[in-house]
Amino acid sequence: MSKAHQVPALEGLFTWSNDEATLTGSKCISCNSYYFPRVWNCRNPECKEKKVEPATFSRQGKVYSYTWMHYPSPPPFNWEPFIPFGIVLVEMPEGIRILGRLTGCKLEDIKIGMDLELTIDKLYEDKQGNDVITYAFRPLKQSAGGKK
Amino acid sequence: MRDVYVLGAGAHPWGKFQEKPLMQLAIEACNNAMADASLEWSDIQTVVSCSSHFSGGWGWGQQGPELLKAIHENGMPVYNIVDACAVGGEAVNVAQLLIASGQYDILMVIAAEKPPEGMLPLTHTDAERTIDNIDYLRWVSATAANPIWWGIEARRRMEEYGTTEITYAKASELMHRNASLNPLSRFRKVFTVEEILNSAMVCDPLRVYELCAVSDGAAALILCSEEEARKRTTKPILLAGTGVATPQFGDLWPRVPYIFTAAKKPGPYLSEIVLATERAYAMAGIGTEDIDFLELQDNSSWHVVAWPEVMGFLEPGQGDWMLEHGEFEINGKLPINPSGGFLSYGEATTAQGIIQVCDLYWQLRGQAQTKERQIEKANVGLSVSLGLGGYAATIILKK
Repeated sequence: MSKAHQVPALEGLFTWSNDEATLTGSKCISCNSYYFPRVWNCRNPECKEKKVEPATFSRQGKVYSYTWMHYPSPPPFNWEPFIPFGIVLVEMPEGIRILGRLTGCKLEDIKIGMDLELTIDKLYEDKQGNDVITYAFRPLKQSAGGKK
Repeated sequence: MRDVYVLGAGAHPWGKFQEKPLMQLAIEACNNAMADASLEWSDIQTVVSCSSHFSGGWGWGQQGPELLKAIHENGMPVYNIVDACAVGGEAVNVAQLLIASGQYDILMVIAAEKPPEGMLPLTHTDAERTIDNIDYLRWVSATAANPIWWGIEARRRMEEYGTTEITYAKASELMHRNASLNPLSRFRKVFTVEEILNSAMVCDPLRVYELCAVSDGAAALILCSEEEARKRTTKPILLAGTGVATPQFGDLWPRVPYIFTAAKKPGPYLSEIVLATERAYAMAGIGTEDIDFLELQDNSSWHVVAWPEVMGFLEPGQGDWMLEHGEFEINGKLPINPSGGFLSYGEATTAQGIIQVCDLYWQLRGQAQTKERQIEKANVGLSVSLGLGGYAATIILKK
């Protein structure tokens, strides 16, 4: 079975290899503030230099909080059939929080403080038959087993 | 700088008015405000008008020049303020400065809006579909519609303070019970807590009756100088304080539509609300202890219990107790949204900050539309609104 070609929903957000994603952003060269996705300037008001360089982030973080979406997003996302999905706000070791889709986890299994890792998730299939993907979070392998 | 007073308030009922054009909603709100102030169009020196700007285009709301072209084309100056849900409060702030500076003596602040149906949609053109467009980014990265941010907050609060789904349902129950006394509001049915808990789940733990819908709506205010107020009314209401703010770096509060919060060191949570409110207090020369009631922007039932804490009225986690013990009710210690708020009005985003100030004004004048809705001790009222992307406005009126 041949695998569909994968294309990112948006260029520049993340890189991926198989099912492992790495987020790409920026880091201030003078005050070390992190930004996702990439920015043009540092916005820390205490930072005078404001110059940023490309940066990547840890591939793991902890659930700050989550929700479970029971309604489909407006077009252009035509999910047929629509399956309710989780969205998590994740605390990253860099002191930032990132919002993303949750995959590989049921509502009853997600917990605040749980360890997650970055993966990819298929959003939809485009007209050319490609899988359009985005980054997503899934339970970190060694901590996911718990209840299952 | 001169003191500024509210001389009149008016609104069009909020709801869905498919047969009626936006302009007519705006004009009726203006006419009601002018009737309340016993004024005519020829008395109005300028109009401050509210609209929003999302991802290009004009967004929603009513532009001032169009309004004058439709009802009173006399060449007067207009100021179009463009923002999101906080624009009404921001327009009141700007209007106050226009009078305080001595430039004008009487003016109108107006907002009218017919937003699109359902969850606020993607409005981007192909050219806007880039990584630098924060409102496009949230859809293709996290597929995140507005209410998910509130669901995330509501869930976090349950973990931190033990808030339950029943508490959130009770907050919504109170808003609709208050709205049942407000003929301008849209969702005026009194629900039981059970009915709310049985309504469809949208973004767990928040249900459809715990989230604000979108509505058509319009509201208008007449502001004037002290000299005009003395001449024209025996019940002057002082625009005691206005404050406007944007977020502060380090604030980790997740705000629509950002998928990311940055912090070098953690700063104040919901900083734009905190800063706008501090600025309004500083101008009014008062503090939380002087406020008799609040109109706050309840996009969800989470806001009703959480925001009074963020704004310094309560200790963190105390909102649940206040709600459970009836202290947020119309005759409680700290009445929250005697109007029924936006869970009941629904959102006409650009007009929200104006209808809030109308509601403060009606309470302070003893003009609440029904006797049961009138707060007995209403001397100072405060309203607060928050706009998509991070804008906040706080308004304080004083009898």
